[in-house]
Amino acid sequence: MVPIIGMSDQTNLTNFSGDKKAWPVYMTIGNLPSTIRNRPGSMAILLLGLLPIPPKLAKSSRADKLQRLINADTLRGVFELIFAPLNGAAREGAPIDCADGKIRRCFPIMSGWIADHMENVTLHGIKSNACPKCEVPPEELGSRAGHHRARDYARYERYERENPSLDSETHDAAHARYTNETHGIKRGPNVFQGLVRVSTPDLHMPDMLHTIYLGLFKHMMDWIQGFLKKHARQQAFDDAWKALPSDPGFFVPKKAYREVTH
Amino acid sequence: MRDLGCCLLGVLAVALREPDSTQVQPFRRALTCVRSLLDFTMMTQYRSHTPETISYMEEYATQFHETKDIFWEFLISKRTQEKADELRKEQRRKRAQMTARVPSSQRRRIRDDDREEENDQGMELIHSESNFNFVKMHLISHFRDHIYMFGNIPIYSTKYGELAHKEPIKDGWRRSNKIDGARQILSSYGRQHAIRMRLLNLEFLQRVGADLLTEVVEHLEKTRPAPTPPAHGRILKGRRDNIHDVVDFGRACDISPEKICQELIRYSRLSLPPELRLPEKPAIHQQKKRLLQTDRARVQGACVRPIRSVRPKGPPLRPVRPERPERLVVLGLHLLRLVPANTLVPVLTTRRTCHGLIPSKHRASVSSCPGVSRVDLPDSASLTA
Repeated sequence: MVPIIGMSDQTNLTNFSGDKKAWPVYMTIGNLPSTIRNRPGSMAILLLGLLPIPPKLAKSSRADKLQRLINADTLRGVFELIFAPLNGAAREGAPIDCADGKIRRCFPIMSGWIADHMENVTLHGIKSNACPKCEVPPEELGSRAGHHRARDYARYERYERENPSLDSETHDAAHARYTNETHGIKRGPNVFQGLVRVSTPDLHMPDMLHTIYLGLFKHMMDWIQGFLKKHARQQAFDDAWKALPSDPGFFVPKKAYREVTH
Repeated sequence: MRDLGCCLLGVLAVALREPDSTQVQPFRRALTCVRSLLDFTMMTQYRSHTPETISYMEEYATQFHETKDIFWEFLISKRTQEKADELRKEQRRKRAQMTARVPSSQRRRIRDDDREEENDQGMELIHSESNFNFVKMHLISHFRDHIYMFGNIPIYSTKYGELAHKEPIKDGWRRSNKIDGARQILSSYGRQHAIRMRLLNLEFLQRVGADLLTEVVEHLEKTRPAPTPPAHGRILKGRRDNIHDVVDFGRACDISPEKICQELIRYSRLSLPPELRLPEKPAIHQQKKRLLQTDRARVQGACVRPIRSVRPKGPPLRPVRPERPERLVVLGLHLLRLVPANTLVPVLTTRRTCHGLIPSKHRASVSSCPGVSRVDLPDSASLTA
């Protein structure tokens, strides 16, 4: 088996001008050791293609609804093109040259998708305050209330197919609308749906950089600053912050925390 | 931000020391909360896990969720704040109507009572409205399952994907004529990737000892990239010109150029093979002024380990032959070794300058040198080298 790991990330090409963006899709395989895979010089990450970037829409204007749907469909179409060679190989297996010179029958199977949260939101067609792995309602995101049912994207798609006009007033449509609402689904397909031997919710990979370093730490610093302000300890915090000694591999802050924009 | 995680708890603990009697409880709670979250993130950085470490992780997460309510009131969104403000205004207006007829002496007392009530109500509203419901809070609850299914967490970070951007996409964009960028990025990437893979394959074949055509071997020798310095010795692109010269460094350390020259000669006599030695005293003394004062020996990344990556910039040095850049590093090193041993603090700058020793009284002046980023502990191997 060859586990395939995909990645995608929008990135800006120009600074301050032009508003040029690229949306590359990369692919790598899970059989490589992670130290090699993650080294930039090892050429382990292949660029599959650049996705089309839809023009930015104003928030929730009614006339753009159609455009939004078209965008989602285009995205889905592009991904179908990208994944098309994969499906046959995943079902039947394909002879692949291995590094030791032998030819083996391999099953390349999509098994992970590394992306930040907003990417996942776009690709899975969910709302931005929903979890791509499970059906957690937005008001329970911060609590620790056990497990929620894993997402079943096939079911969502079935709903949508059965109720092509969600805006109508029939009972079924209302029901489907209700499920979409509670489960945080946007209309529009999940691009990974239809891949052979793939459980879509498991594709989601945790993302240290955005979840912890840029996400939780940032929130936490806000709380802490609020807390210190309430108890009038901000000055003490800044003094201690500035007085940190140096250590190998540690970037010593030169300014107080409050003086730096984060 | 990652470094923040290492030091935050200590700093916070210092900031919150000596609490008065009303502060003891909340301070302790806040520290526990922060510590559990930090511990959790530390655990996620582990490269391998056992059931035990996972259970620790769970424990920290639970502890965090238990104690997080101490930070509840600081999670105010703008909407909530607006609501609270509106509520307050509303109440003020009502009260102003009510108390319009009351004599002024009583009015003040009523106002004080009202203010307390207002604050309480505001807090209540904030408590009911604000919450920890954001996605990132929830995503960490999936970490456990992920470890069971796929192994450790850091290898799946998007960090590496962002690294991958740089080479094909951004450089490709820079090379394109910006008109149909996407197409040109793809085609340039395709070419580059093909040739890189071919080179890697050939190199591998050469390593295992397959017999290749002589032209191929020759070509490989030519195209082989210069050995890149390890990450800690690399200089950021934009900062290369910023590297100060040896004389500046010497000035900061109170070492005269003459002394540097003497030391350099001594070193070459003791440890270099005869054909590489510097000319002995009289000649070099004629030249030393030019060596150290007029010629600005710009040392790029004079780090011990990537010695070969160091090249002098600017006009070539006379006594030190330009094709022997190692000597420059040696010079930098010895310069630092000049300082007597008993007054030293260990010093090493990982990014840009030399491993070596600098006396503590000069530390400040050295780290304020334009090229030196910071001062750290050395590894002993590099010092005895």
